[in-house]
Amino acid sequence: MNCIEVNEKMAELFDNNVSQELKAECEAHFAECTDCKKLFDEMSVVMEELKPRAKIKAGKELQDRIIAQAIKSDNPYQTRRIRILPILSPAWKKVTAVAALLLILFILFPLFNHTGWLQNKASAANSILGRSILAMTGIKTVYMEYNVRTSENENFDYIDINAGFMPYKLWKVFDPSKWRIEKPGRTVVMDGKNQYLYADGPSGFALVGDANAGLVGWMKILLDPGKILQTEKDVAVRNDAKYKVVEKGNDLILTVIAKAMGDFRNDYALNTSIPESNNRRVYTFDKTTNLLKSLEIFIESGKKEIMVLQLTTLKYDEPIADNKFVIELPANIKWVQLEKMINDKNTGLPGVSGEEAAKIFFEAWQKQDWKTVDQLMPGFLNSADVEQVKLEFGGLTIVSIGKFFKSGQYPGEFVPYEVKLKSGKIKKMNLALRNDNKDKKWIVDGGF
Amino acid sequence: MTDNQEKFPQTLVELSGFIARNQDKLLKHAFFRLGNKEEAEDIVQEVMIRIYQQRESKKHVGAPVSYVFRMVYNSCIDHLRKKATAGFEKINGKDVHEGIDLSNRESEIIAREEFQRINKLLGSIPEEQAEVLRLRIIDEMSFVDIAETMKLPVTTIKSRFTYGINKLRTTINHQEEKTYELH
Repeated sequence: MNCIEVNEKMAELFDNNVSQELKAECEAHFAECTDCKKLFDEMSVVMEELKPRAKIKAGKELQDRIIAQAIKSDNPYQTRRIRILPILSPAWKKVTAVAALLLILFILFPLFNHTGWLQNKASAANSILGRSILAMTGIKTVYMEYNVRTSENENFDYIDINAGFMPYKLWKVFDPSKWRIEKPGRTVVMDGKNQYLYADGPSGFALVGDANAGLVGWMKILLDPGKILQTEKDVAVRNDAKYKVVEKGNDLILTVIAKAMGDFRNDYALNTSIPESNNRRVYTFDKTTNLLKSLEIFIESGKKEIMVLQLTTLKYDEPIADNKFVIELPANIKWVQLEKMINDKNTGLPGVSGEEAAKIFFEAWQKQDWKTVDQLMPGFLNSADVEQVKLEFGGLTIVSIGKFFKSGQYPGEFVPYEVKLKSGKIKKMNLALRNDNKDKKWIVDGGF
Repeated sequence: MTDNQEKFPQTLVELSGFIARNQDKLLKHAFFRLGNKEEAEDIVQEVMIRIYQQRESKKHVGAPVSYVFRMVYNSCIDHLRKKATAGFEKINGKDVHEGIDLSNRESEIIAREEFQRINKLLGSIPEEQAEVLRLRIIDEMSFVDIAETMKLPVTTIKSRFTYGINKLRTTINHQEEKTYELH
């Protein structure tokens, strides 16, 4: 190669995939030509000068942030508001009712009266939307009974595929909008102004939130039909749910096959709610009225399917007494304002990691520092069985506190722990903490 | 993992892996255009969310890493344009660092100094040449990939690279001579 040829090829010497042949030819030329060698060396100096001497590395939090936002974009119902009962919830699930899901489907799924499988084509059902809205606007009340595999005193949408069935009841008045859902141990009422949640039993407590309280969960969106329809269409477009509608006599049978939504790098939360499971939902509608007649939901677990929800009774336009939307509390329980409790300056722990907050929480139990326990688990001191709980858990010994993980759609963190109670009993669980409030304060949500 | 082995993430688990494998180089790319880690992270985050939302329609994209890189590249250009329009900064990079809040974190200060040092050098050559040098040297992209990203022929990329580097060679030589005179 001569100087002109080498100069023409010079840029290629600085490419990622320069050929060994070209490199050898140029090196041979450089050995003989000091001018070209000088040019190459000087260009190499510029290359070095322009190389960053500082490493740019993304933090783990960027990945977490993206995943959290991706989950949120999968599920527009999820809000950033606190909507979990932080008090002595035996598990960590959100206060959102399975019945809420039922309501979505009840209102929406008359849309899909197509035949054949539809994937991500909710918009195709536009012409049916009007009919279903009309059908729904003609309805004044709904009453449902259904069974769910869950545990007593658990949050409404909590599913335990190994548990037995628990009975649920739902009352809904459409104008003005009011509703009530009951399950063993818990009742939620929306009376047109506020949402109330009452957990009975020995660990009883009562929470009230304003019209925008997190207690409502999906409900607020669902009770605005126009918004619900649009939201549900968006969800269908974004998610890999399959729909199939088959006509059978006077019935339209809709089958929805949906994938679990959430972050399952750790599968702790898998199958703990319907959205967080691979599930099959089978609805039967009346072909003439487009109204729901029955519903069954199955969760896929390994190679088998387990029925987790079954609608047993459904009545339209039965009169519902107005006192159904009022909860009478026993004398020893008082309503606690959720927002006030969360925003209280003495609630929650800011400025530390979730793991540190967990450590402080257990140390408080160990030292019987009830003020700190109440700070991290707000409402604790107002709960019905506070003295009994103090006696049982106070003075515990921390065996270990592990590294946090995230799972499913839970917006907070799970911190594995093992503690030994005074009774000698070992408690090994995952503490659920969240800080998705405006002050980023950690609050224990459950798992204790 | 090379781009040939990557596929467009279809699930959260796949997205998570995709982020873990590519976030550093995407962030570096954005940072050395914007000079601000928060803004760079925001751009990377927005792009990642967009690709996740578009996962169904982009399922068959052949080289997802290059595709995402282009999205970050374009988002950075848009971002700088918007800022330039708003009267905050110039696009050519000369004044990009002005008016940015410095973080207290030491590593970020070092990175910001690097951004300023490199941008000062690149500010002495036309922006189209500077961009090729950034992609080749900072982002370690091949000329073929740069051509694909900038939607230009490879020959144009190579000549911009050569012109840019030769101009800088003279600048750096001149600086060295000046330094020598001071001694």
